[in-house]
Amino acid sequence: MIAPLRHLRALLGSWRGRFIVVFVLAQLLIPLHYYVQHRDPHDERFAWRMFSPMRMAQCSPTIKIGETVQPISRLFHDAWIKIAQRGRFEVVEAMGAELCRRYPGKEVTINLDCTYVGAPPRRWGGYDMCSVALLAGD
Amino acid sequence: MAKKSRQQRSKAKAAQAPVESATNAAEAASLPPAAPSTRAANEPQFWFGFAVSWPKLITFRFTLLMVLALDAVLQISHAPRYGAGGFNVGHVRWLSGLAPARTLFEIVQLVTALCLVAAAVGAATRIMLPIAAALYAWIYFSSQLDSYQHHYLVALMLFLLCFVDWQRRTDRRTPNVIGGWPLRLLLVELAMMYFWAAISKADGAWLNGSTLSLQIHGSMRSAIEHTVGFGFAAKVVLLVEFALAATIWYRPGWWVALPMGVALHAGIVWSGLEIGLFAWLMLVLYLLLVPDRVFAWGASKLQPLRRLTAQVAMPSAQRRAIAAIGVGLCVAIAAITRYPHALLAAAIGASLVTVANLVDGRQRYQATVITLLAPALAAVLWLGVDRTTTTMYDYYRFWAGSESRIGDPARAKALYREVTERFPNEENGYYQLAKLEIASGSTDDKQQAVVHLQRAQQLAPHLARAFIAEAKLLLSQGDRAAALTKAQAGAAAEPTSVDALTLVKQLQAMAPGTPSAPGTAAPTMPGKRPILDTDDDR
Repeated sequence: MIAPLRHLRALLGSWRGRFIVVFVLAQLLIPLHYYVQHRDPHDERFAWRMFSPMRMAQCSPTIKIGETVQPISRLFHDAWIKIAQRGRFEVVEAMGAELCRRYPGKEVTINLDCTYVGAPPRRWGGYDMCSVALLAGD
Repeated sequence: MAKKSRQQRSKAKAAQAPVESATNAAEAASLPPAAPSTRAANEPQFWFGFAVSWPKLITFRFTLLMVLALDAVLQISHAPRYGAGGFNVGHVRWLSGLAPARTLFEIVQLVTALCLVAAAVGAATRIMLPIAAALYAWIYFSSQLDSYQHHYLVALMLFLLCFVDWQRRTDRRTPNVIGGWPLRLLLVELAMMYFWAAISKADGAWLNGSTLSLQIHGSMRSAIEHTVGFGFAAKVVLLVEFALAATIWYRPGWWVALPMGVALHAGIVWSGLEIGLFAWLMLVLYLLLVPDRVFAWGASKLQPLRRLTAQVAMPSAQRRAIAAIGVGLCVAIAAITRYPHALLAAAIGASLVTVANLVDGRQRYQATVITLLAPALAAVLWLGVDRTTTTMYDYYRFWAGSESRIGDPARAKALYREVTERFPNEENGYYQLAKLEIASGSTDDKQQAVVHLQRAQQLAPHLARAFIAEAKLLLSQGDRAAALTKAQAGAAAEPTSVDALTLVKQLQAMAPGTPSAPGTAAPTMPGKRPILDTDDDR
């Protein structure tokens, strides 16, 4: 039997070893998830992508409730706006869902215009978030 | 019988001696356990034979946990963002609803800091550390407001450190193997982190230096620009991260990893990146890579400290008396800090430490003075942060700023008034309060606004904004001449202020007696970052 397999078998023989195996696998696979299957390229959490080019993405979220464009600074705290400006879908979508709750019966349209380092700009959203809750590119 | 006992002791000592003298932990790691069980013998030595010397372990524990305690208290400035507007998104969705709001966030951070300080000085570490880890994980995973990747690393790290056996071996029949697999796993975790960080930089936008050039400021920026260039520096960073991933997790590689990692993270400190205590935290982690003999030498030079940290048999009445002094000092110091709920946090934290000390020390009848005084030490940290940083000033101004934008303007006004009372020498509180008073439209408020703007002008005579605001207020009241005088004073105070210069020109061009729009708000200053109470640091 080759050494790594013997090492692994020995590890699996105790709870501490099993814990180590699970921990190491998790820390290898969770970041891998960003590369093989992500819906949101801006969401680099848990992927150890510190200072990456994507971190430099600048997004501009605009919110329209009904036919009126609302200043986002009057709707959400600055810290959330900052995260939305990094383009994180999960937060922008949650903002949409929150506004749909606050303004029932009205269309809540969110546009997310993003610029990137070394890549062309993109627009995300642009439709009623109360009908389609998830952001997608144009 | 006595002879047999002496022989056993001698054998145990023989087995023990190399471990204790293994100031180079490489030697310690290679030592076989004294009396391994069959199961333990089968466990891989890479994980379960890992050891560091006691001086290194306690230096690492103290430094790391104190840095984390400091970080926890510094986070309190961001408390007002928690729960603001009733909106939250958790890192873990099902925890979103359990995120703390402002008050609870402040209390939890203070208690976390207290638990970390207690664990750092060895006060029931095996109990206090899991409590701190749980509180930290709760705060981190329940809200994406904290999106620092290094806080995720800290959450993982604290979890791993819960499994470290922090108890110094007093039984000489067992080997003095300290640290063990959790520390090895921590190093492997760091290796994986560096590996993925390097992978994320294997991208054209990084390799050509454009991404790095956007992130580096200050003297380091000009140093890179005038020497190797950003393209070269970016490639070096990528290679260093790969090299660290390959070397940090095993002992022979430490000779490469230690200087390289310290240089990388010292460079991050130098670069002026606004990433909290990340670089400092990483530098502390590199203590694990420093040869054990350095710590052994340091320990020999710090003998006087041992009196404070040495475990001594102490009558229970004396222990209780010292613990009571620790709790009393903690509460007294908490009372003079400016954290709104410091007393409650002190009561909770000190109770936890006291109970944990009782549970942990019940069997031993031994204690160190420092562990019994841990609550007081934590309160000193709270006070130090309060008095030497802008944490509490930021806390109040962020809170007031948040209320003025998405909350209740009347509440915001009351909060800014509190800012001026608590921090009477800060211009921003007076200026923002005056803005709200002008916006309210009442005559009384406008009179107050003038007083506050003039105070702001006294406190920041180099800033034009308070002069401009008063000029606009005077103009809205129809006093063009006084407005012009004030605007000119603003332009003189800050000659680069485009707003002040523009206003002066407009007022000079305006015919005397020209009516003006009432209630004009103070402008921002184009070309210069306005001082806003926005809590948007990440």
